[in-house]
Amino acid sequence: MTGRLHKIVFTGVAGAGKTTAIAALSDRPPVNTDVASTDPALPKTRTTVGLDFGEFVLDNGDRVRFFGTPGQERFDFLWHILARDALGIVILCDNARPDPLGDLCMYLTGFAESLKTVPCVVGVGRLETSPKPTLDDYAALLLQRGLVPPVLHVDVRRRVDVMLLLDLLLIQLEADLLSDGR
Amino acid sequence: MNAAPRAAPAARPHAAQVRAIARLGTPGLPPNEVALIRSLCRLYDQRLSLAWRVADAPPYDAVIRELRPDDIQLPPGPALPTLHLARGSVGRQRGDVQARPIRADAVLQWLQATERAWRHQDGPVAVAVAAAGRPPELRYRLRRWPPERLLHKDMRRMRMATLLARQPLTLAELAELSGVAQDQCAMFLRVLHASTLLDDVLPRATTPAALQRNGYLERAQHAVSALRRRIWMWL
Repeated sequence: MTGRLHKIVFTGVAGAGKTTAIAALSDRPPVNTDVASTDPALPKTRTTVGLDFGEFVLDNGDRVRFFGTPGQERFDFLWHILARDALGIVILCDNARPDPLGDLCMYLTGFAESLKTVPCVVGVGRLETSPKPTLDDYAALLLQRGLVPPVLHVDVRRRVDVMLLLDLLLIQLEADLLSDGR
Repeated sequence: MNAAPRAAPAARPHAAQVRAIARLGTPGLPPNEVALIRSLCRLYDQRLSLAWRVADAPPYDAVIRELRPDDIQLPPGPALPTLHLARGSVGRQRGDVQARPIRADAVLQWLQATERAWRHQDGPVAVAVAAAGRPPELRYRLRRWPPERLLHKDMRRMRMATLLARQPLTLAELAELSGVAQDQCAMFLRVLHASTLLDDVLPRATTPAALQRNGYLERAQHAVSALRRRIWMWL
């Protein structure tokens, strides 16, 4: 198979929509390792214990692979592996969780090294039913960590929202390339 | 808004920059007065922040018209700054009413007052006034992600904010990368400035983070164009 391989990582808590987002982007049904959830705290019957994997082929022959990390912190050893050489990281948050800002902190810590350079975007779901914390609260927390990624409300069941996440990653790459060329 | 090159006054070394045009409507005025106003715009060009141009048809940014304009159809929308021309004497002194014949100094004062008023309002022309005199090579960097009230869930604003957070950019670079018109970019910059969310960055004052990573940009270079095409196809 020819062409380069690129990688974009989706991370976030269980139930935030990583699997759904990857399915919206992938050329073929994504491979996932969902199993029946035994965690009563999760609002779904299946959850990812390994990783999700989707892919599409670009018109230049390159392939972009999407990896969804397992949400649970006990899999953080996988986060580092997946983030290595990634073009971008999408962090999905679920505002209906008990402590969504704490969840975000966990991923900011887990991906801290990569986030120094790799473009990132934070998508927050279920804001319509759980308006607190606000997007501004997320932005303030990110600023405390010295980060200014885009923070937006998303519903990953809507493909256009997933496209927007990807677009905001891509535009960061374009800014980097412009900066590199001047 | 369109833009036109500006002659460089001696006192403003950076003034050879792209300059926004303000469209001046003269609906219903006789041709000789329209010609006079057009000449005054050219005459006073160096004394105004915007490049004022007499427009033959709407949309206008400001209007000079008869004091009794009942029979003149103006484009719908918010009230435009208007200088009224009166026949005979004007009783009470008003900056927006001028007795005929047209006085050049009064027109200049009204144009300058209009620009001053725009500085304190939102709108593309207002932003162009505010941006006038800023060096085109000046870059802007976002300090923090803007509050929701400034983004209005507007995808264009999100893209601009994302770019400004990632790299310090000039107005022209921001417009090019975001695909948003330069006057709209200038407006957003003004909004960010007003909210103290933006830093001015002197050229090459920072080392882009991208340069510090090994191989990252090389990989990105190959993927970006094709990814962009793919997104366009999806959208």
